[in-house]
Amino acid sequence: MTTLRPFRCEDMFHFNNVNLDPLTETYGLSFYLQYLAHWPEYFQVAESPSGIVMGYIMGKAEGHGENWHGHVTALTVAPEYRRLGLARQLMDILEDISEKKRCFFVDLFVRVSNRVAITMYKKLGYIVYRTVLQYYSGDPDEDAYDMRKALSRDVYAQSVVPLTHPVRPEDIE
Amino acid sequence: MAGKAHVDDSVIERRLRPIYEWLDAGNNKKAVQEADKVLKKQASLPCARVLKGLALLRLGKRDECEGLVAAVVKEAPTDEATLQALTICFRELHQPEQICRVYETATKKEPGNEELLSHLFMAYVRVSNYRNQHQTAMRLFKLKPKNPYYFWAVMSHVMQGVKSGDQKGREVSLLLAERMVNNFVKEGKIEAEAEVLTYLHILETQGKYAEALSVVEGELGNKVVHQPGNFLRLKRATYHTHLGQWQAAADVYRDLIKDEHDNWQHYVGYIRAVMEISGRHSPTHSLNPPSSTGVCSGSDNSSISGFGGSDNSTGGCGGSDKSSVSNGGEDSGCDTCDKEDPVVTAAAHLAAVRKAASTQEYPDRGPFLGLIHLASTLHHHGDHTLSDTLCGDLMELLLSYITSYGDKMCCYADITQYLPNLPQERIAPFLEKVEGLVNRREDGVPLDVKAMYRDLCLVQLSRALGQHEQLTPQEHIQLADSLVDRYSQTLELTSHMAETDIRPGDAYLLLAAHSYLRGAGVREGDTTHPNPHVLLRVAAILEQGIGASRANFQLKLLLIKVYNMLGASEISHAVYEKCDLKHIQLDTLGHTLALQALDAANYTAAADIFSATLKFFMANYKDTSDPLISSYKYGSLTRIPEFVEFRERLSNSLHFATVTAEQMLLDITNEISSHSQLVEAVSQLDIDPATDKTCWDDLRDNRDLRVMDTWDPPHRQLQEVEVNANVSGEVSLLKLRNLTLRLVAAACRLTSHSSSNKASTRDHQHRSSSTKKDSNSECVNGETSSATDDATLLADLTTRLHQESQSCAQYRASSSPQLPLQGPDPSRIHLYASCNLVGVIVRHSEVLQQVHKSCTQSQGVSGEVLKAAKGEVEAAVAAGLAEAQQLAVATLVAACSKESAAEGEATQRETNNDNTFDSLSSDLSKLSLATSSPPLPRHGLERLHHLAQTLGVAAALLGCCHSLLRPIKASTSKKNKKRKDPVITPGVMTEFSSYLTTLSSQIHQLKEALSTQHKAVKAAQEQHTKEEYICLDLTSPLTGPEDAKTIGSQVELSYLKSLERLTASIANKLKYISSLRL
Repeated sequence: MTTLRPFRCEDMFHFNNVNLDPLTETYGLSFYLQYLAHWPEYFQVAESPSGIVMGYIMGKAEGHGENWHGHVTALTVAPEYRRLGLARQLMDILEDISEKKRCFFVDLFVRVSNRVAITMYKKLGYIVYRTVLQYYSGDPDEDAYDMRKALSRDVYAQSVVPLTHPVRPEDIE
Repeated sequence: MAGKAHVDDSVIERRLRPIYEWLDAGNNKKAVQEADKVLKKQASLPCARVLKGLALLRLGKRDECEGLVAAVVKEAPTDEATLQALTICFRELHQPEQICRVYETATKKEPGNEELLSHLFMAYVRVSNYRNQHQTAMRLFKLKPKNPYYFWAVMSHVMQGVKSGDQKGREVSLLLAERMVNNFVKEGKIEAEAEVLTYLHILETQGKYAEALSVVEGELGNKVVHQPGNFLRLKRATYHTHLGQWQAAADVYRDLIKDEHDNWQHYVGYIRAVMEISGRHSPTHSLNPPSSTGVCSGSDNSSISGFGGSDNSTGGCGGSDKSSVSNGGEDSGCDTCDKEDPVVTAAAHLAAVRKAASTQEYPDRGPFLGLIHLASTLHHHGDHTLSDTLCGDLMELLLSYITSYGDKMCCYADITQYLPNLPQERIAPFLEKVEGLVNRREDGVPLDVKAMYRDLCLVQLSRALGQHEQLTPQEHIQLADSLVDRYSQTLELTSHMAETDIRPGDAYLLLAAHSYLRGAGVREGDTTHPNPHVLLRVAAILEQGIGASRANFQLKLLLIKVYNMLGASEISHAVYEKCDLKHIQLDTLGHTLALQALDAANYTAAADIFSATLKFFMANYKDTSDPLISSYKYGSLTRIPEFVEFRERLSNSLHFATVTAEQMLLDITNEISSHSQLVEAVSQLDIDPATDKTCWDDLRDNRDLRVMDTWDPPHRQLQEVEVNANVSGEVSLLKLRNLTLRLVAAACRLTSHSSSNKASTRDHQHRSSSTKKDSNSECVNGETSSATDDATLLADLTTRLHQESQSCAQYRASSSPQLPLQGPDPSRIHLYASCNLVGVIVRHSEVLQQVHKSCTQSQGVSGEVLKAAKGEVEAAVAAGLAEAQQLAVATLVAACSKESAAEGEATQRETNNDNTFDSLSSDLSKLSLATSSPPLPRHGLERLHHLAQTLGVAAALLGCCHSLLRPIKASTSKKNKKRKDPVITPGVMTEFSSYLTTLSSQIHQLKEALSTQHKAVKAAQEQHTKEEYICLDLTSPLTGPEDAKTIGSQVELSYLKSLERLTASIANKLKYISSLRL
């Protein structure tokens, strides 16, 4: 039970109950604004009946030819609103828009240690397409799973045939 | 020829590339060298010269950069590379208007160059020159008739309208924009979704909802293809609502609910429309009729002046009440007479949706809450019976909701807004039934995680429904103890959870902390101070909680608050760092710790936080400019007004203005120990004594005051009026600060004139008068006239500072109100005003004015005036000193005596320590029931900090006096023959010298007192460490002697550091003032 609507700049003044969670990064202003300027429809927020930001999704569409795809840049839900299916609703919107933009697939990166998220994405139909070595910098660096889900335009689901070998971050196009 | 040019280009590109690479790598020295290499081969290459300039700028050589760049600009370059380099340079020089000039020149040379023109357009975007934007866009469109160019022009009109000061100009610009689009529509030229969205935006901004509706329902609606599925229907529903076409709105919303039964906005819209159809008009423009009164209820508490007027930002249907009343009745007329009450239909519909949803495996909450919302709205309208008949009993509805979702963390938040509709007499039975839902072990502890959530929900509901209101302080503490107990007992239930998850049981600790603080007298009125012992205990408990649940920011935010209450900013800073606040959070959460660190004399932490904060705000324009340009490029034109509003809200942030002022004051007071340092520091700061650039009416309170959890009943939550009062206090203090800063700057300018006058060399005069930008007046006696201006300005600022401080008298009388925990800390103006320190600044400024007069006017000012002023100053400073000395002693002794009191009790307990828990709680209650706990060290530290700063300002003003008097003293002692030197009665010199002596000795005393305090605290701290803080009893089910050791020593070390820094600061003042002897 939530209001799903486009993210607006002023939401940044009170998204702290989501962003203070250590797993959610707070970026510089230009990062959010560039997404709003470039892919406004891909940036949606879930708001509680009392106006609290419950979570949000940021994404974009990019790539050429058969690599034209939707990408999930950030998906986050405040701790007290987890396990209520909110992430699924937000992902639905992103996939829906990606369909409308005639994308071939949707992809996202996730820390290999983030079991909760990986399980959830699998439930939503995503598969591990490949492993990206040391994608997340830190101490130590951490690998990422590049997870994908084919959209209807990719009739033969060619975009989701998993790679057998891991790749390095510089090899991702 | 083209071929040759091409070759040249590629050669140049190859030569320039290394410069770019060094610049990108941040190695500016190498970049300069590389540029010099290129320039050796090709001395005139403009791009290389600009890049060299850029590298020099980044090396801090601004002048050299400006020289290079200016020369290139004169040559009017038109090549892409040079222009781009110039753009970067001017951006970093913060001269965006120069980018416009450069491209204006270039486009004049090559009027047919589309690329250049579009860069010119973007340059105008950077500086928000909407008129020129429009003209440039139209030039582009004439050159290349592309739709985006046309819409750039349209949007420029819109922005001109939106930002126009007068209503008329606004209307005209918007109408022009609309007409431009209309023409395009008529000619069938509309192509893209973005164009339709822009059209809708223009119509919405003008309130032309009927027109907007026909756009969405017509051909153009089909062009909207990339938006979320409900986009067009939501637009329709919103427009119908604005037009008061309630039946139509209800129909759309009903359909939306059918397709998206968990999307809450549909229910709110539907129920509102249905209520209107049935003639039950909503009394307010609120979208949530039964909302609670607290700030947390979802109103956007941003605007300082219009607190409640933010509903338009929720994108809803506010503001249309006028039309709703008139049209609503008309629409509903036939419905109400022929058919049954539309509310009946709606209830049936919602009940059906709910029934359908309940068959899901994991039912969504929306359908369940929808019916509760309707019931609650009917109750709100007084239709109690109807509500019961249609929706069922509200209590039963809530109970069934809790039955289904009570095991979720969000249950309380879901239903809290409906609680006020529960009749008083049903609260007890309601809670009893909720209790019945909790699955408990024999000893009362929740059986599993689900039961834990239900138990928490019960406690939260009890608190919100006022069940904890009647508790005595002692009972609050007992309740808190039991909650800490419950936390410990349930800890193992959640041991399997990932470290990154928030443990459900953490809420027990938050509830407990709130109860402890309540019991400890926080917010129990103005006269008592919260009991420090309880604060330490809460700190220990929260530290334990954070240790077990690292992701829980609620615990951290509360702990920062508790340490702040204690004045132990060293430790608050440590917790603050764990929160990892950055970027915009430095504005929205800057109230958690920034000024508190400053006031507790934690200058290192304050400087760290200030510097990060100011860096964020300074980058705001740059950070928002590029996205603004992208919006034009990518056609997300409707975002442009939003971006501009966002940028302005940030640049008008009250926190920004405050931190800016406090940082400057810190720069000119803390470490300054000589007059030359002061003059240097002031010149670095670029303070304009003549004008204050703050837009006082536009200041915005951007603090996020909703982030901290609270379960208090509505009347106890943070109220708008409290926030407003808090903001006014902060604004008043900012006014005092800005005036003080300008006053010091004016004083420095005054003496710089006079001293160069004294040197009486023409060079000096010329230099001084030419540096003063606005002195375009008579050059003959320019020097003297501007000095007179400065004297007038100083006098004026002194009067205004005095007046401003008089208007703060209200704050002096009342002590600072402690706001609810989710709110900000009390405004700093209360403490500052109560110190009576502005008077000290005013008097010193008067002394300076007297000295200046006696130096410049040929008739010597009598020593009497100075003597009188001096008398007042002495009295003020002496009073301040006495107060501070006494306070310093009182507070710190208080801190220690608290410990010794606890020690006494500890030994007492040792004799009969069979039942630790009982004796502990009785100790605590004894402490909390004390009618007046000693003031916390925090207030003493704050007063001392303010005094130190004020003495810094006084020293600066005396330094100015000194630089006026010294040359005269020198000349009189040399028996200088210059007859035109003003005659100064020797009395002035003597008075000044004797005053300095007195003041020095007073400050010396203060310094000694601080050293004594420091020694005492250090001795106590060492003693406590040796005894392992046995005197401090923080025992609870969660904490023990180890925690007392950690917390106790950390707190005391924090005080020690504060005292050290204060002593150093005072020592600087002493050194400064001692250096002013004539």
